[in-house]
Formats: sequence, C-alpha cells, structure tokens
Amino acid sequence: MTQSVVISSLRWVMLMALQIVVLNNIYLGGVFNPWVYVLIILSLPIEFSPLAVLLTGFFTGFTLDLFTHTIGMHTMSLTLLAFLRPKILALITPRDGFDFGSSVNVRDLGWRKYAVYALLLIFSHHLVLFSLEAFSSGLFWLAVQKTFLNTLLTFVLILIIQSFTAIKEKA
Amino acid sequence: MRKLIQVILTHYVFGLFLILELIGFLMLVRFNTYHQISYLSWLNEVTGGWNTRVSNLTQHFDLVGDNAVLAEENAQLREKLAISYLNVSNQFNPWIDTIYHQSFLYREAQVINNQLNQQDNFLMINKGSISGIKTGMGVINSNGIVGVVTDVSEHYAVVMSVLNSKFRLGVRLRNQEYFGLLNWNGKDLNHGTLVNIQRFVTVRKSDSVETLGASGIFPVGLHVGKVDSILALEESNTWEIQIALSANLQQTKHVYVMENIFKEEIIELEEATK
Repeated sequence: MTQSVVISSLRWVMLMALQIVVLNNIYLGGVFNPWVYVLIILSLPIEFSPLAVLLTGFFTGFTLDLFTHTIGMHTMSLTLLAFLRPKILALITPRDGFDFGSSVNVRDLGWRKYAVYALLLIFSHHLVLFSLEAFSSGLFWLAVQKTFLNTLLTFVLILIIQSFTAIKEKA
Repeated sequence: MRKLIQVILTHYVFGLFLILELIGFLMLVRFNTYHQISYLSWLNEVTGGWNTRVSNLTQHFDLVGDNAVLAEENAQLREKLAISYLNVSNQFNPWIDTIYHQSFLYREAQVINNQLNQQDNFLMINKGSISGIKTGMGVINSNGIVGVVTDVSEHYAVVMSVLNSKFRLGVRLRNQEYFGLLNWNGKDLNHGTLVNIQRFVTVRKSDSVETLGASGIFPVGLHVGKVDSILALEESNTWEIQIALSANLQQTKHVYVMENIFKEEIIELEEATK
C-alpha cells in the first residue's frame, strides 16, 4: 500500500509537469489540445477507495486549474472522471475479481478492456471540459467535435506513455 | 431514522461528488470573467421569465387603478392633438414643420419586478435589446421620471431607479435659471434630495422641479416633483431641498422608455470637447 502511494505520487508529479510544461503549449490547429494528466486518475491503484479517488480527482483538477488560469473547469471535469472511475472499473472487473497485485494498465487488463475503460472515462472528462470551455449553446457542436478528436489523441498519447513505463518496470 | 443514516452512509460518495461539483461550478462563474458574464445573463433571462409570470398573476389586481391613470393620460394627450387647437391666425400655416424636429421616441414597457427595500433599488422591465432598448435610456411613467436603463438582455432590461443611492440627475427649478443635482437619501420612498442650489436663489415650498436635459437622457422641462421642505446648509452656503417625487414608484406598472434620437450627436460632441 505504501509503495503504491509513493508510485502514485511520483506519477502525479511527472504527469502534471508533462501536462503543464509541454502539452499545455500544444494547440494544433485550434482544435487539438490533449489532456494526458487524466492518466493520474486512470492509473490509481485498484485498492484505492472511491472516496480517496474522488478527493484526489478534485484536488488534482484544482491544481491544474491554478496553472491554466481556468479555475473550476478542470476541477469539475476531473471530479466527474474520478467519481465515474469506480463504476467503470466495476464494469470490466472479471467475475472473480482482479488478480492480486495487478494495476490498471494495458498490460494487466488487456487491450480491449483497457480501451473500453480509458475511452469512456476520457470521453466523459473531455465532454464536460470542452462544454464548460464553450459555455454557450451556440458553440456546443464545436465542443462535441473537439471532444471526439481529443479523446482519441489523449488515448493514443496515454498508450505511448504506458509503452515506455512498461519497459521500465520490466527492466 | 436508522434507515436514513444507512442511506446517507451508502451514498455519501455521491453526495460529496455533488458538493465538489457545486464548489467547482461556483469557482468557475466567480473567477472567470467570460463564464461569469454568460452565467449572469442567463440568470437574468431565467429570473426575468419567472418575474413575468408573477407579474402576469398580480397585475389583474391593479387593473382598475391602472386604467384610471391611463385614461387620464389619454385625456392629456388628446389635448395636445392638432385637432384640439384652434387656428386663430389668419395666415396659412404649412404642415411641414421645419422648426421642430422630433427628438424623443417612446416605447411602452411594463415593470415586472420592482425592488424598493434597499439602498440601491432597481426595477426590471419586460422589454430588452430586441425591442431596441439600450443602456443609458431614460424611463418615465405618466407622472414623472422613474430611472435610467443600466443593463439589457434580449427580452428584459434593468432600470436603476431614482430611489438608488448612485442615481444623479441634473434638475432645475421651473422658471428659474438655477440648477442643482437630484439624488436620494436612501430612506424616504417619496422624496428625493436636491443639492447645489445657491442660497441667494429664492425657493418656495411647492415650487415645481423639472429636468435640465443636460445629458440627453431626458428632455428639457420634464416634471420631476415639487419642493417639500428647505434646509440651509451653513458650511457650503447652499440649500438642501427635499423634493416630493411625482412618479410614485411604489405603484408603477406601466412605464415609457425614452430614446433620444440625438443622443449619439450629444455624446460625440461631449467626447470631442474632452
């Protein structure tokens, strides 16, 4: 348990740094704007209680809001993601539960299950985020368009990040 | 009771989720200018719609009084029609009037919310930007001045009432050259305060007070009220005059929003001299 908290904290710092320092400066074509920091919540250990996940989501979103000067937007969207995570995780749990010591990543869950899990959560997060960014019914379709494109982009980037960390853990 | 506690305990994560989202939303509309403005104008539309419903329900009770007021005003307007004038001159009068040009347009509106219990009172009326209402337009009723439009959404507008501590209007005593500033002391709903009139001016009780028309919001010479009591201010050598306002804002239902056709010209000229 202590070990998993330490790993989660390290992941928190590194992903936040990646998001704030690198990815926030990428805004390709006014549309592509990936939010890879959601991986922080996606990768939290399975044994974390729903309450702990929810609070982590709230404070992570608020912290990012402070850096992006969009107080409330990431707080609301990441809180929703953190609230939904235990419910989506329950959907893909095998009948006899996860193996002891398994983590929430592509390697331990398998491609198909992880894709369902990650895409659903990223989509819900992005939909709320881009809707709040638009905040008017006239811009709704632009928000939906951005949601779909960036869900895919964030997902691909998360897979790339996981391919690196998997190698590290094996070594 | 035990069941209630059980329900709370099993769903506390969901409850906390709702609370956290609410906190997030409040922060969103508090700290982001764009979101704050969108949220407030949306709220304006919603509360406006609600106030319309309440007003529709209650306005029937005031119909008798309203009719009397409107009938009286109709009578006054009839008096001003060309048909009410007798031509006593022998000369031919051309119909095309080259001396007088219409300056003010009137739009009828109804008050749907009228707050009078605060230091800064506002009214809401049921016409907005779609009907051509703009901020800075004057609002009157059949008896006197009501206020100035300060905020406009699509279908509603907010009017800063004369009974607002921030309201200022240049007014003058009828038939005299001297003008002062009308404001509100924040207490008496029927009285305004006129300041900056010098002590050498002779002021009598029940003298008429009318608009100065300086800023182009109201026309010149619109009736505002009557002098009620006069107090000498020793230190500034001016009068402080209490004015009985003629508008009677407590019972105002029908108002007219005034558009000055020459307002832009006035503003342009004012800015050119700055």
